[in-house]
Amino acid sequence: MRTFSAVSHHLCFAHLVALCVVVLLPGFPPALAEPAGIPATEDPAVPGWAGQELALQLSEQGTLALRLPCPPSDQMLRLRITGAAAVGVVSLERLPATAGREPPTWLTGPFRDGVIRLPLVEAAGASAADTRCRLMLRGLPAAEVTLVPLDWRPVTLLTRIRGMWDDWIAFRPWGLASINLHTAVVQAWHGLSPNVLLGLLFVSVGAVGYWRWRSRFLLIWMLACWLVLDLPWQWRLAGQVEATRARFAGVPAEERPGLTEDAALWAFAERARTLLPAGSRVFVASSSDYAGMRMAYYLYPLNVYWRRGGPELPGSSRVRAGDYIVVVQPTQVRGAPEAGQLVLASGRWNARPLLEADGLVMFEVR
Amino acid sequence: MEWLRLVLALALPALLGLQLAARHVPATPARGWLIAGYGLLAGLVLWPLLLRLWAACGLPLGFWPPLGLAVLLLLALRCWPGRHAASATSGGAPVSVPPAGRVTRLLCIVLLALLSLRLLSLALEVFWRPLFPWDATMHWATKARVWFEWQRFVPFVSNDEWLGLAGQAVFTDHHPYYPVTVPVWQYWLATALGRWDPALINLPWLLCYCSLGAAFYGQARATGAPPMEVLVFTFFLLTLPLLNTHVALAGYADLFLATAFGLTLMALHNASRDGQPWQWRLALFCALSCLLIKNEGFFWMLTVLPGLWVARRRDARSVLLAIAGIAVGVALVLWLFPADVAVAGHSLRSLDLGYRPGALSGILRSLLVLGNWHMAIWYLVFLIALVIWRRPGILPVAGPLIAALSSALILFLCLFTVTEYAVGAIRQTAVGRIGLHLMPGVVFLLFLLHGQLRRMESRPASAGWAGRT
Repeated sequence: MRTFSAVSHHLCFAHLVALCVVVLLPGFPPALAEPAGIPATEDPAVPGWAGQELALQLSEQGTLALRLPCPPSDQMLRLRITGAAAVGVVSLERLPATAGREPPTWLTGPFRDGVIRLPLVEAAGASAADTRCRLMLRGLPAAEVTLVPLDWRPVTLLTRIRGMWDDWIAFRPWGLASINLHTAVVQAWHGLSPNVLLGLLFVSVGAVGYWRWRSRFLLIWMLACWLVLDLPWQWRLAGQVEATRARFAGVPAEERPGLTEDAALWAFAERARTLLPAGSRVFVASSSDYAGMRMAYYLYPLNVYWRRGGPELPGSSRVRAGDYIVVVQPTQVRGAPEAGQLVLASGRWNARPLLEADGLVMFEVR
Repeated sequence: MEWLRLVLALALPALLGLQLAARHVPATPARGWLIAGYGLLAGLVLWPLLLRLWAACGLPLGFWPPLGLAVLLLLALRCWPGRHAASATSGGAPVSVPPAGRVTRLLCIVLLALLSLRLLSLALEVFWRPLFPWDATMHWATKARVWFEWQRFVPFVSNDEWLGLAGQAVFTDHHPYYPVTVPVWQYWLATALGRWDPALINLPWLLCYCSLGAAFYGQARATGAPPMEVLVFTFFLLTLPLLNTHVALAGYADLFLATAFGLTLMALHNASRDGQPWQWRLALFCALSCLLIKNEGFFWMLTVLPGLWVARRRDARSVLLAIAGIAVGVALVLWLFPADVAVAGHSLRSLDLGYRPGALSGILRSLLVLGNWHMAIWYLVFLIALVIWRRPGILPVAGPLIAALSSALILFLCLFTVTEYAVGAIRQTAVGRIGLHLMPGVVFLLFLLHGQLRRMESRPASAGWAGRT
């Protein structure tokens, strides 16, 4: 297992900020750039690949996309990234000849001496005959990075096991799905699961051991296998605690939501609550379950109405003058401030904008 | 001052529960652990009930008045002549524990150190991280936030009712009719702090985690198993990744329900084994507690009934009969029950019955491939195979627990294969969380299976096979 200092490097503040930034970025990936400096080649073994540096700057949104030649078989690109601390996630995928694609598989690392190993993932519709791939980075806005593609290496069983190990012990921040499932590994390319590997090992050795030493062996053997799974989990928990500490410790509790992915929603709700009298009726309109739900939560203890999976707003007969409507993107509701109206599919309501920030608008119904 | 209020807000309800448990649990192996486990759960479940009763009587809420009630109740419990004292000799016979060897002691220290580290990691997350997971902000903490501001339990109604009432004196959220034990705790801690703290309101999740661990250890020791073996299985339970996650990202009620249902099953097992009335009372209390935590608690509570039936008959055949009966019974209910009648918030029509391809593989993936339960299900499969081969007589020993757990498993499989909730298995959004409710019982079953195999090995070979089923 790596030393703690190596992991600490992995968890450094810049990296965490980069991770947070990339989670929030809309509209990715951007248009592809065709940089000079990386030779197009069908042969992964061409020596010209190694050592060629490419200095680039991430966009203002913290993104970067490059098109590279790639080999026609399962391979893994070793890429050196100088300034890796500013990079949150990296993705490499074979481009399909036809249009249509799924979200890319993002890797957060690990970086060893600034080198990351990127498996070539087949995008939807792609085949080995497609020999161009897309390298994408997301990180801190305008961060400067230098990329050095070292070489392509074939994906062997050993590569897969190593990939599983890296995947297994990599730091991953808590996500919304964390409460529903614990994935020891998240990358599909290596096709391995520590649970299955250890499960099969437990059953095979356990059967032999039970035959010879009975249940006493079984418990010790189970504990050993359990610890093999549990120590990386404890390691990850420790990393997550460190990330939580770096983000929230020392900040007054009531201001901590402002340091989360919901910062814009929370800040808007805080301002809105100071403007409205207690007990005001507030309707939250959004076609995003997440954004609508979170905005509603931050608006409590006002008398909030938000309906999941239904019409964003009730019929006009249910809304009266003096009510407030908070419009959260994405939404079907549009504002026409010059006309003093809110435009819905069902008609127009008289409403004046009361507060606007970060694409969020609060209207007062008149 | 704030910390003092916080400590009082947690400690007094916990002490009430501990005091109640201490009056019920007689001298038995690991009595202290049993009191800690069941007492903490009693405090967690009964305190919100008391607060609601207090409010229903029109008495002022706030911090000090209910706390005064807690002090009075504590004094009353302290002074009331108790039925059981720590020195009482009724109940289980003392269990002789052979002295532990050096390796065993070392292993014990390592496991305790790892458990302490785990508790610390989880506690720090609870202390620092503001409310984070989805449902926590959708329908649990919403109520607490409003009640804290208004300092009364204003009603929550459905979206349509809210519109019908023009929002007059009512509030709404996505699940207005869920049981309120969890949000009442969040309300209570915010009231103690005098401010809305989206992190510290989640401290009861730590208590619940401790309650589960202590009760498991206590009940496992009450079976007479060696302390080291019990510690290993307690370690298994308390290090389950998804269970840990539900503490670290506190805000969901699933941990509370898992604890209540798990404690029910453990007490049911020991009650049926030894016929001790206090174990029956613990089982009954915990089963009823399930109702106060989540709607699913009603169905888990029902699964105890086959266990009770098996406990009366005490033979292997009745276990198999009970499991088969439940399987047939569930099928009949799905077929014949009126489609529009809602039970615990669900009607058959709303469940949109029909087999969903892909759901079964989602369930298996959750149990065996993902890291939710480490090796627990692999171990279970292996031990079941061993038990079928070796026939150590597990059905007469753990029949009630097996019947109840199997009934719960049948409901679990039905929910995720033939109802609209199958999507929760296919997308892994709910199958892990609902599975969490069963895991304390599953780990206790692992412990019993292992113990039965061990006991069979220590029996003389001539007597070993007689009368086994």
